Amino acid sequence: MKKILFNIITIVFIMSIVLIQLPVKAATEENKIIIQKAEKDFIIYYKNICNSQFNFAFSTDKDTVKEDLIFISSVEDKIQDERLNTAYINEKIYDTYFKENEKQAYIWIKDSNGDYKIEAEKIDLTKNIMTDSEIQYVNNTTKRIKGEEKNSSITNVWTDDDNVKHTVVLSQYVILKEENTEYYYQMVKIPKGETTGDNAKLYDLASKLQEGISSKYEKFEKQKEFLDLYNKLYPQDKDSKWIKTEDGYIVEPNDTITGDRYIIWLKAVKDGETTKDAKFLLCYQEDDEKKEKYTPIEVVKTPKTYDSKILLIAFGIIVVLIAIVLYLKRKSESSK
Amino acid sequence: MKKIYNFLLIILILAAIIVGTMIFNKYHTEIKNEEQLSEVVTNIENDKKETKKEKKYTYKGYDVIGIIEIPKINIKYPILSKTTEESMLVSVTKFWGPGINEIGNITIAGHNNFSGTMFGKTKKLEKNDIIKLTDLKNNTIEYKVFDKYSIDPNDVSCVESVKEGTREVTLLTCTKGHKERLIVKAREDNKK
Repeated sequence: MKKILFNIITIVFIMSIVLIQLPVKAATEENKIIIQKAEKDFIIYYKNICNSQFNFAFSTDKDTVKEDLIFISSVEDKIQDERLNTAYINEKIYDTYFKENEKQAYIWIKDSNGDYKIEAEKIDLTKNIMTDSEIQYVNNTTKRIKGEEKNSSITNVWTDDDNVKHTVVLSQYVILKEENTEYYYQMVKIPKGETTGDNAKLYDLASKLQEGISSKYEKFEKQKEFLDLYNKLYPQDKDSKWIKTEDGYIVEPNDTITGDRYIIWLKAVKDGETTKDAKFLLCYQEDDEKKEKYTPIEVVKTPKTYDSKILLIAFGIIVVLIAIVLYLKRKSESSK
Repeated sequence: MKKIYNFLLIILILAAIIVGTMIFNKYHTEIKNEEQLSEVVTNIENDKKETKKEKKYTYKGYDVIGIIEIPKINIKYPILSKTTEESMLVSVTKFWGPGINEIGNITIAGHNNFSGTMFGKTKKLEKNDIIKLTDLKNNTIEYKVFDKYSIDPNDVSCVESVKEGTREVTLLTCTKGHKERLIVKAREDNKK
């Protein structure tokens, strides 16, 4: 009996340890964003921790005893309106923990109650870092090479199965050309309804960023995702599919339908320097789609639209008759 | 003999009075209708200044689908949705085609009134004259006249578009009594 009880207690004890460990382990796999402000200046955002104050400590050894850790209070970042609490790496911390250790160290985080949220999580400053300039690069995507969307003078007329003629005015993107600059483009179509694949994903990220994301953390996340995908998908310089545009006009394809999306990769080359950009266009011709119902003519005669002058004619005749009668009457009287 | 002449005169004078009264009534009705039509157009326009929402309008029981204005001959009428003998007595009507300002050719019929009302003066239209159509969302498109000709009443080819994929309007009215139809063709003025 005692042995069984002992075994039960042991099992319960072990399970308790495991269960207690799990949240901490989960915390070590939580998302984080690291932004590099300068060579030895980093901000670390932890997704579910950044909304309140916490303390953090670094060590070069993941087995450091907790009592030996030197904790520092988190700070609120100064980016945009939403204030998030962040761990940070300044020059002193960098030189102490990261410089001689291949830019890697370990972090511990305690909340304001002293409960550990992160323990010995590796921070690698060589991977998955986003710099300020990269954030700016993402923010300026679609703005580096200027242009505007316009209707072209090209129409595409087609008849569907219901005999309805559709007249679609094709849209075009017009690059606002600068002097002495050559422009190239590639157009990637994302058919209506397609949601999978890198192109669709990049388009969706661009849309979300353009619409605006209220959560700062989420915005950083999306910017990082966008940047990684953009860099992955942007065509190589020597790619044979680049099309040079002399007049700066990029017309959407003839077979475009409402709901199709396009990524236009752009490249501007001036004095040997290349500027890369992209545009994300949605075909929304549904409202503008012009339909002409083609039905066999049922009408066989045009309507009568004349104004009958019969009354006027009748009046005229009566007046003439009155005149004739008066004349005859006078003549009759005079002959007497 | 004198009595016969007097009798005839009385009959003729009575007939003149009756016919004269009928003519007066006809034109008075036309003038009154013109005033009412003008009021309807003004009401629609004032309404549209306040809201761009599409609203239903009727005139004497007929649905109004838009407004036609031809500055050269100084007419401005609501366009009724159906062409019947009765509806054509009160305004110009859509005879065939798509909605106002939609792609395709809309044919509008109107009486060739002796008084010059309705389409009584469309014969004065020439190439490049402007016809304006306003829909119930208050969008106005100007059309430029490009053709004018007469056809047999049984010839309905005038209801078809001349140039596919464009907005066209065809005005239709009688000419030479009711022996022919006068057709005026106009197309959206894209140069604006």
